[in-house]
Amino acid sequence: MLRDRDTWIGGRAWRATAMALLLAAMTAGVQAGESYVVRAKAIYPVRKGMRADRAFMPGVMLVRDGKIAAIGTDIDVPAGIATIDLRDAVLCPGFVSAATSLIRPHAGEHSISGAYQAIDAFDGYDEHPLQLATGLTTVHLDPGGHRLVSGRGAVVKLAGDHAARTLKAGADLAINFGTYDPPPVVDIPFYASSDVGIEPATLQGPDSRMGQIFAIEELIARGDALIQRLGDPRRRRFEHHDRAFVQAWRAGLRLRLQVRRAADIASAIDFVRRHERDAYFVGLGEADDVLPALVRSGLPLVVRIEDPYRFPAWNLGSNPEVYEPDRSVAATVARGSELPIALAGLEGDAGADLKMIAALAMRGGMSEAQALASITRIPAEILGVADRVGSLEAGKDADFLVLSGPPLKISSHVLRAYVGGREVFKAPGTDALVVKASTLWVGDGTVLNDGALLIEDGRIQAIGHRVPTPPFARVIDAGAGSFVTPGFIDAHSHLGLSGDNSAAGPEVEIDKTVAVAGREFLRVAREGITTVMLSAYRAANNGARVAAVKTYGSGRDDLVLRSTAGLKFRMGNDPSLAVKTIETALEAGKKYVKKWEKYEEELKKWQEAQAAGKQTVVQKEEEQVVEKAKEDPITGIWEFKVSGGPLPEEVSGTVTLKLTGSKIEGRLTIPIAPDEEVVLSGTLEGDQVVLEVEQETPFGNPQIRATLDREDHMAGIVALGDRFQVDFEATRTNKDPVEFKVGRRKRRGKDGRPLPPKVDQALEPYRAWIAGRIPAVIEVFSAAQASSVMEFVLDREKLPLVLLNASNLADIGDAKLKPRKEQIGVILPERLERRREGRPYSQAADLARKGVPVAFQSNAEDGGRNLPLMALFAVYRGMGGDNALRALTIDAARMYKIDDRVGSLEVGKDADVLIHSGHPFDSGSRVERVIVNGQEVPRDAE
Amino acid sequence: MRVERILTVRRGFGALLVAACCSMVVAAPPSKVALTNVRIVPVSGPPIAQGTVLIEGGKIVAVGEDVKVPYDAREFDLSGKVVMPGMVVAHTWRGMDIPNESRPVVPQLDAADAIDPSQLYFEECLRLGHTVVHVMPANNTVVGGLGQVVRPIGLSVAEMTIDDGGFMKLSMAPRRGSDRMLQMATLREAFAELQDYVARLAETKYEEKLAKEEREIDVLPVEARKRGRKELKADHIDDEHRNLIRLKGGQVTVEGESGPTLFSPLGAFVYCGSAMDVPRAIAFAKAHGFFDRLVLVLGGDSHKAIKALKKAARPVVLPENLVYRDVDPFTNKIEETFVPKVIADAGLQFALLPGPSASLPERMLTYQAARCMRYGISRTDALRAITQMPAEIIGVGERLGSIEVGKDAHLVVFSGDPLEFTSVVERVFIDGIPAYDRSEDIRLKRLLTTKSDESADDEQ
Repeated sequence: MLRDRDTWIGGRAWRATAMALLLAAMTAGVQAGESYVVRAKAIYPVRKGMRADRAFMPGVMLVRDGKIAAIGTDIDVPAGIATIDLRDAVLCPGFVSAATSLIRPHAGEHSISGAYQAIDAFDGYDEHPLQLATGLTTVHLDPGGHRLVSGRGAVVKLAGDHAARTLKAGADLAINFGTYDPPPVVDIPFYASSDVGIEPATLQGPDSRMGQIFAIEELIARGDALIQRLGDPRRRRFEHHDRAFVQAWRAGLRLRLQVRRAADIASAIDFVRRHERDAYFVGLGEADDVLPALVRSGLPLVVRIEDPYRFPAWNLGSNPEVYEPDRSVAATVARGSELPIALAGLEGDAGADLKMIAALAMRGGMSEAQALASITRIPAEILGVADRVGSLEAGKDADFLVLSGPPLKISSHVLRAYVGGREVFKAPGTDALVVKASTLWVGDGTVLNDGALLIEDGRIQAIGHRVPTPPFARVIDAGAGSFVTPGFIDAHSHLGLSGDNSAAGPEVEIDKTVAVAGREFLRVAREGITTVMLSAYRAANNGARVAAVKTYGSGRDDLVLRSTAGLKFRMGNDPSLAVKTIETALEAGKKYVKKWEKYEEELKKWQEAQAAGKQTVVQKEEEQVVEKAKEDPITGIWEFKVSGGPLPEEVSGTVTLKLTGSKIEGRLTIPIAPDEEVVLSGTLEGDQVVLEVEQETPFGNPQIRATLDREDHMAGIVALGDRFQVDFEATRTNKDPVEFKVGRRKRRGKDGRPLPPKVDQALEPYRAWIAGRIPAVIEVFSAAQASSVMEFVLDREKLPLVLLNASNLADIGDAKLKPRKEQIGVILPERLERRREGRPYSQAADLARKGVPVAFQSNAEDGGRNLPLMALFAVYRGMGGDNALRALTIDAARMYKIDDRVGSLEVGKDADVLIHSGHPFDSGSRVERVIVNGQEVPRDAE
Repeated sequence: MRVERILTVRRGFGALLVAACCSMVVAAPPSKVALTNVRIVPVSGPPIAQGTVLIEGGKIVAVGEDVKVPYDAREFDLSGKVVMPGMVVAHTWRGMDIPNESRPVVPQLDAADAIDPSQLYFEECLRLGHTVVHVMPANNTVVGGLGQVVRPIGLSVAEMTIDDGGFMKLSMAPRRGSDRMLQMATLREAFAELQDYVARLAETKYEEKLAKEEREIDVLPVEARKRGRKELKADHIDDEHRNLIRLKGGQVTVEGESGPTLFSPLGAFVYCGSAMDVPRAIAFAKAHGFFDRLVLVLGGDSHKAIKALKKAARPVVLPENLVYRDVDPFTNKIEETFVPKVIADAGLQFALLPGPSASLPERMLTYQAARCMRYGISRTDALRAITQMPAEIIGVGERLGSIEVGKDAHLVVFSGDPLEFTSVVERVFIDGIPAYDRSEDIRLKRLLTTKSDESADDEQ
């Protein structure tokens, strides 16, 4: 098998590469002067003569040099052009606001002036991220609504190159009817002196509705005198603001008439008619009162919609005169006329959000199509910039929004904004993802129709018919007929082992083989298998670990769901012996568990003592363990004699020995000191006995070296270093197994804390199994094996059990099987169909029918990608579709007790989600998208 | 020995003269001064490892390794020290009592009328080696008035003056309580009013002429203004409008008691508080004929308008804060920009400003230059940005800003590398006058002396 691990860096790199490709595609396309194609799920062009709520689905748009070159569902795309595939996103024109408070009203005091220019206050270098985030790309700048004539307005784009931002520097002349009592103008001469006195402040008009029209008319009438500066040159003041007004008036600027009260609307209509000027209205809180007059005037309207959701604390009290906003005005006017109507926020409200305003207008009765046009194309037309912005048409500026859903849907957000073909805003990074589908197969027995999932931080955060959509969340609307299931589980896999079929014991941490998700992982993941139960091909006699591993992720931490999720045994053919092996291994495991239990108990005691404030005295506490030995050439009581060498006389005594394997333990006593027991230890090699006496002498421990020269007799020497040696001879007088009371000092920490036993990796899985945290996965072939295993594991030991393969399980009979169906799980053999009693037999269908939980296995590496097809085949052969789905998801998860993390679409579980084009077991259904831990598995990049 | 005694006597004499400020010694420049055995950083050329600077009559007459010291020169052996040109502060309001007049349009004002020679600021300038200060009205204005180039020594403004300022102060950024619409309206009004003023004056003069000739007015005002132009004399125009005319490039002659005076065209220091002000300042300067004499004083995020700045290629005075911080409104991530690097990379002529006096290190121009080096600007450019560049920008580049033969002897002696933070200014020579000696700096001594030092002195 050709391995390309070296060149293949793995999951993180993969994802990074995929992201980089995606971003490269996105940013490569946004270079000025370059051309690119954007594909999206839908494009709302909002063009004239087309209902604004109609979209190209799917939509394609060709952008060239910052302009739209072509747009439609199917357009001719030049070869080799960069493509931005936005898949789930929706495009619409950037929003246009004909009335913003992006700049504050000017600080001048003159009541009527043409000298103030809104463009002066525009920061063409600001990136305006907050406004772009609401979708606003083009705005009108108003010099202020606080003076009768406040100055010249401007129309600008909020992003892009500084020089290209200004669409109109002097767009209109702002006249605000109903604005009275301007401040007096103080003009202190410099230097004031006895000759040059300080004049009282000049009072300004208007103070009333009568005055406002008069004040403007008067200036218009004085026009020539003001411009030509007629009059006594010595006395004449330089009336800059009045002159600037006349200049603006004469320049033929459009009039921007901001009016709210019905009476002002009426006199404004009159004023415009009298002067035959091009004009448009802004505000119009009371428009419905003078609707016929407005309609007759034929003037475009920018209706300000009050947005009380941001200022809920406006108490109106009992004042009958109080002005109560009416959000139905726009809809009323729209219904009653053909007038162009744009929507805008309240004056002074810099944070007005056009989408929210459109939503309010729709609540007031406006249609969605009209509302969308009212925040895009129509305001652009009113402001006279419709040749550039406001709709997506060939020849116009490529100013568009990338939204997570339809433009006026309240849960959709602006993900990106483009101005002049360049990306100017990108939603701050969030991994929140909403998946919408027509059917969600939850896995807990319920099916949710027309539902959605919210995924955040790799977990499922919400599921239901409506789920919250956090700002900037990505939305996948899987569309009609779509079917969402939890990710599939391969219950027995060897993914990533690359053919290594050496046997593994329980000490082998199989999850350590997982480092990065390579190509074979990706192949499996793309088919919808999100979790594999990974184990070695062959288990040692005392079992092998099974790990739960995800198929897509950026590293081992992401990938490994549980390092030990099962303990796999393979049985020999002899059923009785097979169980015996497991039994022996389990015994050792139990002993190990006891050690831990003891330790935990002691630790608890110690902790309680600590809590009670007791000082633990470190004692030489000893525990008594009774060990038995069996009959063998050494074990028993020996009488010995030592003589010769420096010894003055022969010494005799008894030594009790015990043989374990080749190790000898013993106790030695001599009659002259019967209470003193000396410990011996040593080995038996062939017939050579070497024993070390644990009694210190200046020359080291004495050593007995003897030979078993005949049965029950040994002879040799006792050596004390290389100084002395004496003859040694011993005869066995008793062959009974001996018991030693072994005194072992307990291990304690410095503060008296009991120390944990040594971790034995080989026994750790047993601990988990005995605690019931993981099952034993026992491969059985015959019914007899299955039967004995069940008897042993379920009945005697009462431990969790999963049967692997168990091809002939049905042979044990329903009477034996059915009572146990709650306790076991069966991993079906990879060959799903075989002949039984001469007839085709599907174990999957049979066991599922009997109510035994089953799971599918691949018993392969990336061959596991075919698991869904195996399930499909099982369904074809009579297994219920729901059963097959359960087998692929929740049942497999429950068998391995990993259903706290995977197996169903429940809040808090891992976001392992599959989007199918239909029910997974419909013939034509495909897995369209795979999401593992909230991350979508890339489809096409290899 | 003898020389030293003379020195002491002189110093005593000086101390008598200016009892209050010990370190500000103003006297007629000694005819010849030699700084010997000193490392010379001329800024205009490569450093000289060990050499001599010879000063005569306040001017540098020789620089080099093998300069013979005349017998009658007062010699300062500065071995181990480094001498660099006096540093130039291109734009500050300090030295005056109040930064700005409260009226927005005051082109008739002159900073020279407000400079207070006794301000501690000037003493501080000596201590830091800043020997040329362009005192200008501050940024809280529309048309703020004229600046003055002074040296930080002298008992009167006249004595301090190096050059009558050639620059008018304008601000594109709003004054306090104003906004940009009002600011620009006011600025445009000032220039529109100038037109009106001249026209009105011409009309009046024509009427006066007719009255003298006892004739009735025979033409319409428009024609009268044209005809009256011939009657206009420079001294008919008041200070306010004269300075605006000068700014627009018109040379104005005034017939005074001592003969006609020609007022040369004025340049402008235009403050841009933000990037959006930059294109506007450039456009305004072009519209009113002072683009060729325009200096942009940058503030805030002005560096974002680098494209416009580069295209204009006018000199700039950088903000005191060299680092600009942008905060992302969504993530609160701070993005920092080192402004001088952006400007230097664009190839613009720029001057560094000392930071506010409250900031201990940043008020030193050397520190600002050192930071530039740290962010990748060459040592030469960093040094030039505090000496030669600002000198050229404020129009005294011919006389100041480098150690070259023929230039005014503004010299600063550092204990080590000027851009090293541990180096201190040991001596300052202004026009050859030994203006500052760190060992005689009483205020500094007081600051640096501890209690225990004092008691030790007492015991002696």
